[in-house]
Amino acid sequence: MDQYVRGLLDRKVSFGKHEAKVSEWLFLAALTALAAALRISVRSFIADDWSTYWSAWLAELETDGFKALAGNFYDYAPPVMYILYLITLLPINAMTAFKGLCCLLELAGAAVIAGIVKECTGSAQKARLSYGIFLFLPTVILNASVWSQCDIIYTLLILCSMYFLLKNRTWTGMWFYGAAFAVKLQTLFIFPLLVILWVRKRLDLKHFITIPVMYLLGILPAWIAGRPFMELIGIYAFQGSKDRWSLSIKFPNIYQIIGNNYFLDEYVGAGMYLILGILMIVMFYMAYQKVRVTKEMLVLMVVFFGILTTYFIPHMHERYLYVTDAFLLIYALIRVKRFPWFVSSAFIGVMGYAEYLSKNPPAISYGVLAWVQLALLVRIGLDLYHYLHNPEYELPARAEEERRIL
Amino acid sequence: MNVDEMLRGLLFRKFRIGRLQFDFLEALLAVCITAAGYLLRTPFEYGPPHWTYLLAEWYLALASGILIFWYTGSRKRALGTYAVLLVLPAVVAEGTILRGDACLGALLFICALLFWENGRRWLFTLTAAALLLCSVRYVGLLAACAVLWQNEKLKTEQLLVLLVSGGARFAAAYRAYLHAGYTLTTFHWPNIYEIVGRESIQGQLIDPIALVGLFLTAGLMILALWLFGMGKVKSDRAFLIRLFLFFGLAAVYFLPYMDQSSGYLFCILGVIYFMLEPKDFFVPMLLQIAVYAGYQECFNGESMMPMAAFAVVQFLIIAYLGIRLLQEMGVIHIWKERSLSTWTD
Repeated sequence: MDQYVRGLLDRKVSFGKHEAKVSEWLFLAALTALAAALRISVRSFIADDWSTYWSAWLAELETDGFKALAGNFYDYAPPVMYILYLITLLPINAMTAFKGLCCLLELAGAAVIAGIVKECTGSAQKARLSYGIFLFLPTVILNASVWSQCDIIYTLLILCSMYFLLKNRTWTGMWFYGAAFAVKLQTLFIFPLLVILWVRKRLDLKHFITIPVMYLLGILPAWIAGRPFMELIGIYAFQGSKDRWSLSIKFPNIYQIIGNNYFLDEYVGAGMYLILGILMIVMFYMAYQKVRVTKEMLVLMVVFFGILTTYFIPHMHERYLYVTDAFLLIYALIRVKRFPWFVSSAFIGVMGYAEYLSKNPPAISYGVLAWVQLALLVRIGLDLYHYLHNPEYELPARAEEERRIL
Repeated sequence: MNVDEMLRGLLFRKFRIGRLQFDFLEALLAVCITAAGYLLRTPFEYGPPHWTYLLAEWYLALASGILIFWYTGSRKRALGTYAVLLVLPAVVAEGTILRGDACLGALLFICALLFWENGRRWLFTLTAAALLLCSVRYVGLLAACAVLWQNEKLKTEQLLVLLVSGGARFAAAYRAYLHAGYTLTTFHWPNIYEIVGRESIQGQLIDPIALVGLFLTAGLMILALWLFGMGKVKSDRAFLIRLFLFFGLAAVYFLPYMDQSSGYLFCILGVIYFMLEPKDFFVPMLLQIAVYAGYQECFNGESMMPMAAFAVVQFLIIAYLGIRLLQEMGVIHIWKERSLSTWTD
């Protein structure tokens, strides 16, 4: 019996292109089942966002059907509303359906993260580990299953985008990036990375067409339903003008150090121009560094720009590190020494979620968390700096750059 | 050649105007960052930014860029300095929000450094003397000049000019301050008084906290001069900037009645220092946060975090700079060699 079980566990089984031991498949299945059970157990929690916004939007969609998309009652990108519209057609509780869909996307996201980790490190063990960690990351669990938020949608699209870029399937990667932009404006946090990839010849200008095309495709159904085209084009601008009551909404950034309740209107413009200036200087510096663009560098740049932009842009929400956390997990598995930084970032994220959901003030002030976040930004910035100056990756001045990510 | 290759080629193509050679990307950054710097100031104004302040800040950024170019010979670092200074929050806070005159002081000191670099010591002396006459907040630079004099980088008559101008401003300023009946010993400037308590003692002939602080600063400066006098000044530029940063910051850290603008010049020097010593990036970064926190408290009347926290950050910066200077000048080595218990002359 003992021999039989051990033999069975050690037996290799193929699933599609992937081959692994039965024990490893069981491990993944157990993780998935546990993650699903956890999400099912918290599905009945009703967050304020759901009762205030989502249920009102669903009510409009239930009453007027597809034509409701012509109204201006929603300020999310239309593709999210199409998902809500489809949910209204299902014969199950809308919140359960919405959370269920997001949970499925989380599973897909975990799988893509595992794929990227496998691609970057070549280690199946690390890939499995990343799959499990992402599924049990507190911010991931709280985001959709508890809070009814949908950050996983655009995060999954960005993850797919980077996965295909790493595989040197540029067009596919950029279509996914365009799709992510059509869903959420926060996709732009990592846009400077694409500019650097263009300078380093990994992208061409034609690839950027995917962004407006996907955005237009995204708003097309809402336009057909009757919402004015100009209103749809400007939907992100409207989003930006919404949260004017605080410069940082439970997000540990510079405004938590210098003050987030004053100069509310002035800092909106000033903060944007400041980050624009900072990005110009950073991109200028990076454009001159002739280095091999490797998979590690790509992941590192996503993390760096994700943290840098959110640290200075006003009106950031606690949820806006979702993408960065996903890529920080990947980076921490590429460079295991950085794992404590990933843990601290995940912890920082949870503080904001906890305050929103429990309505209790955080145990640690956001000012302190903002200093930790600054330390993380410096650490990642230094890693990037050392990468750019590592003789191993430097290219001779006249060397022709390879047009693929190594 | 396709469009991508043409555009990428254009980015790094070299152009020449007279003796000035530059890449297209450098020119692009210069233009874009100037525009960003202008736009950064517009949200705080009803109309366009005030042209006098704008011009002074632009000239400050330009002069600092030139200084870095003279120091390093690197166009990119010079452009980086120009770019950072145009969008530096402390600069915007002082000129655009507060309409303060600290930019003038910084400009004078950058000019003084340009003269120093040119070897024109008298012009350096006169410009630095003008700076010392401008405000008492620059008095720490006098101590740095005294260290340079100890190492024969400045002549005695030059030091005397500086001593007279600095001393006159110091005496005049504190004669007024000590009799003004201020209720605070620091005005939005995160220094030692934010740690020990910033409320002045009222209803007495003197305020002992301010008076002790004043003499403490003078005593510490003289002690520091004695200590630094044991070592040898290095001739590199990073050392020079570190020396000015240390003494300048240390003085305003202990002097009473300093305000938020006391950190302005040192934010500028911090950026210059970073361009010379990129490894010490945390010095300008932390300094900028601490100084801007002071400005923020000035605008808002309250600080998001306790000002004492920023005062501790400043103290750590000063301590770091001081220890590095002592190490470089060989003072720590001398102290180790002559153990205090056995030290005889």
